[in-house]
Amino acid sequence: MGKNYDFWIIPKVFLILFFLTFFVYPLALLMVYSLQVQPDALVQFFNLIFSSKYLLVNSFFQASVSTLGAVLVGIPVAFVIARRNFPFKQAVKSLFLIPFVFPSILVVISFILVFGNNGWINQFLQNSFGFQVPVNFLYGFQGIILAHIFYNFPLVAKFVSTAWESSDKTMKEAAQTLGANRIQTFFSITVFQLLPSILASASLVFIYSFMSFAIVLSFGGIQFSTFEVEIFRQIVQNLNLGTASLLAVFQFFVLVLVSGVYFYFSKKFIIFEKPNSEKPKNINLLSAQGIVEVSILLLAILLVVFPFLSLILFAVTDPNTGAFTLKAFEKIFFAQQSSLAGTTPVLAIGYTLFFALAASVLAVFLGLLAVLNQTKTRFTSLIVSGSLAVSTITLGFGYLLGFGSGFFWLIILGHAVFVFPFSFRLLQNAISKIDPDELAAARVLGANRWRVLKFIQWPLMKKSVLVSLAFGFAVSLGELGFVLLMYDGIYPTMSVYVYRMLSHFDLGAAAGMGVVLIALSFFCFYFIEKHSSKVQVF
Amino acid sequence: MRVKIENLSKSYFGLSWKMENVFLEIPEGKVTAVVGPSGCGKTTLLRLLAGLEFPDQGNIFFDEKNVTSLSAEKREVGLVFQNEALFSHLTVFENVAFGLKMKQDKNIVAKTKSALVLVHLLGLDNRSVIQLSGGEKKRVALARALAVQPKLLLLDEPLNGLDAGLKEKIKELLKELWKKTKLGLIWVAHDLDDVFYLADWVIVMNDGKIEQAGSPIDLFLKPKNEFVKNFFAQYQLIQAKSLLENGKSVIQGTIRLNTVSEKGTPYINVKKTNYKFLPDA
Repeated sequence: MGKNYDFWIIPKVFLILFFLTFFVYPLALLMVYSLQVQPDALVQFFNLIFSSKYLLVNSFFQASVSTLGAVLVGIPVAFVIARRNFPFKQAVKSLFLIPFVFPSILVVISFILVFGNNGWINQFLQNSFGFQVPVNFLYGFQGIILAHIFYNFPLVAKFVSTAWESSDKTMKEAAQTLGANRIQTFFSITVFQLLPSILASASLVFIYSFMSFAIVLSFGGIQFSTFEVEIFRQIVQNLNLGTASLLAVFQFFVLVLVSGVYFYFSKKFIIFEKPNSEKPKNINLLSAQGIVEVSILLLAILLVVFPFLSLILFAVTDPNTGAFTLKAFEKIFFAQQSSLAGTTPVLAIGYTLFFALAASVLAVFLGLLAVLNQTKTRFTSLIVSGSLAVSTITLGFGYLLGFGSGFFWLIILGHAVFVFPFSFRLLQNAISKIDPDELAAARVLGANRWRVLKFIQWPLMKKSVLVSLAFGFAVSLGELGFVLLMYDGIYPTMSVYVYRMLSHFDLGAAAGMGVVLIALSFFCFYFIEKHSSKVQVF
Repeated sequence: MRVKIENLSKSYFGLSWKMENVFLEIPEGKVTAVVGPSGCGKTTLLRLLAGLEFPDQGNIFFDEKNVTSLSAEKREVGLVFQNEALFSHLTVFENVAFGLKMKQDKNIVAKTKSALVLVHLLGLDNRSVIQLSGGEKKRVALARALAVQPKLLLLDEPLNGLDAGLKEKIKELLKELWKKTKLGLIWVAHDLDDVFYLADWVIVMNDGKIEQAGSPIDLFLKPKNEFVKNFFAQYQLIQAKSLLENGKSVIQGTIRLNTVSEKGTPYINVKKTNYKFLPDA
């Protein structure tokens, strides 16, 4: 290799050192810690996972049912998106991106508003059907599943519809000429064309549901707990780090296995250019099938839209008179209340923006270093795949052991580590679309590495950089578990504020802050959506 | 510019062949064809010459200058990529001007225009390259490489993927360009069909090795080994006569093919461009 390549050793070393320090080291520390625990921590660990809280059964059962639900809702939606034309199709498709940037703590509030004991549905049941006791839709297993389905069905729909849109039509036609009818063709050809995308998205949903924090913490109560929430409780409430470390390591290995499944199937789920794909048809409103298709679509839109609509509606309505009000926002922006260890809501907004901005910029910077390195580093792909198996609480725990708590830069670093795989993948997608011959052509025409970057790579990657910034910003904005674990009362974020207000049953303040959070998330969503046709988001 | 390759070796992970101890001299100001089956190392040779790859050992000389470790941006050769590799985010003009911009040339507009004139593309300046047809893309790629006035132009299968009519047009254009510029041309092609009409010098490659290099006539008449012999066995070289017929110059020769006897009138299909004049021996 020529001498001009030597410079790239610097970003490479920087990248490796960064992840060794802020990813590998905390995890290694956690592993070592778990090997040195006292016997009573071990006893409590077994007690938790097998008897007193049935963590093992609960975690798996919860994640499996959530996954099944998301797949069952997601596949019909995928069918309508991939195979049918309907008005505002592009707008509806981008609507389904919303849950990806929607902070989970907001799902919690909006579900309380709609499904809670005093929620709209229960009020409706009491007023119209004379129910005396509210129906418990929310607290316990059922609420968690409901929220996870809302959160994850768009992921399944996205993966499967992409596969469906690009599935090879000629294979189906070949089956038909060989005498297969529509149903036989579906089960002998189409299912196999879709299977990798279904299994890949299902294993991803399983992982997300398994590590879900805010939703399980809020709806699970004391009885229903999963690994992620129990690790948090053992650290924060019981100060039982030994048991917590065993739980975290156990969860880590479970997730390693499941993410192995994900990577196996996602490799098979490759979207080719679609030369032989089928054109979508119009919905026939006069047929029974058409009506079913429209209903699926409308229900899916409703499922995506209602949480934030209900939240906004609640925030601007006076609970007593039902009139329009901005009281909730007064509480946020003008109240002198300092319910969070001396900080105000406005300060929380400030911290959140600062953390989100810093974390997304850092993550994109790391992502750019990784993808511009060109040489495929095994290290980077190990970090990217490994990070799927590391939950926020697990990494936070590692940080606590390694670096202590209460430092704001730890929150930034942690969030950057979580966002890194997303920015890496986005940027990688963008860079892999650039024809290597284009770069070679520029060099033959006299452009050095910097000029190739400036004139060829950067213009072609600019949009992906913006999208990954917005994506990272949104992820950091809505993240709760890591900040709760690290913030030590000093640096609350908006998510933490909403969570605290919820535990003080101050739904008004929670909703007010929630609307501000929605506004910020939508800002990110707008950015992502604006460029999503040009940028391969997933 | 004379190109000399000395003892060049290059191996790839995962490829069965390697280029080993290649010695080669490519004459100045001539059209050199590099031919051989797919995957024989023709494109690698081109990329080594362009500085996009570096040899494991050996040296490459442009005239007397050792350019072996010189990176692509400093070699000042033109390269037309097989898939054109146009900059998809730039217009036709910006594509052609790119090299001049890198050199901070003072006459970017004039030089770009004249390169576009050379390939008969003036007027498409502001078009996005994505909207161009196959033939137009090829012309832009040619203009882009020529705009910086390189001393050596490398063509990687420039006729690949073009339909028959377009192929003939680009062939004519290349001939015209070469007559105007007289710059050294190294043209990679998988067989001699497309290159014969222009090639002064032919290099036959196989499995990373140079099987033979020489004038096209030498290769036909004196193949050094079985591979070269078989490679050319598919063609028939016919010496023809120059005639003047009704004031127009024509060439006339006799084709003889060994065939299986069948009924009916036999016909032979010959491409109009597949002829060339060589200096008398």
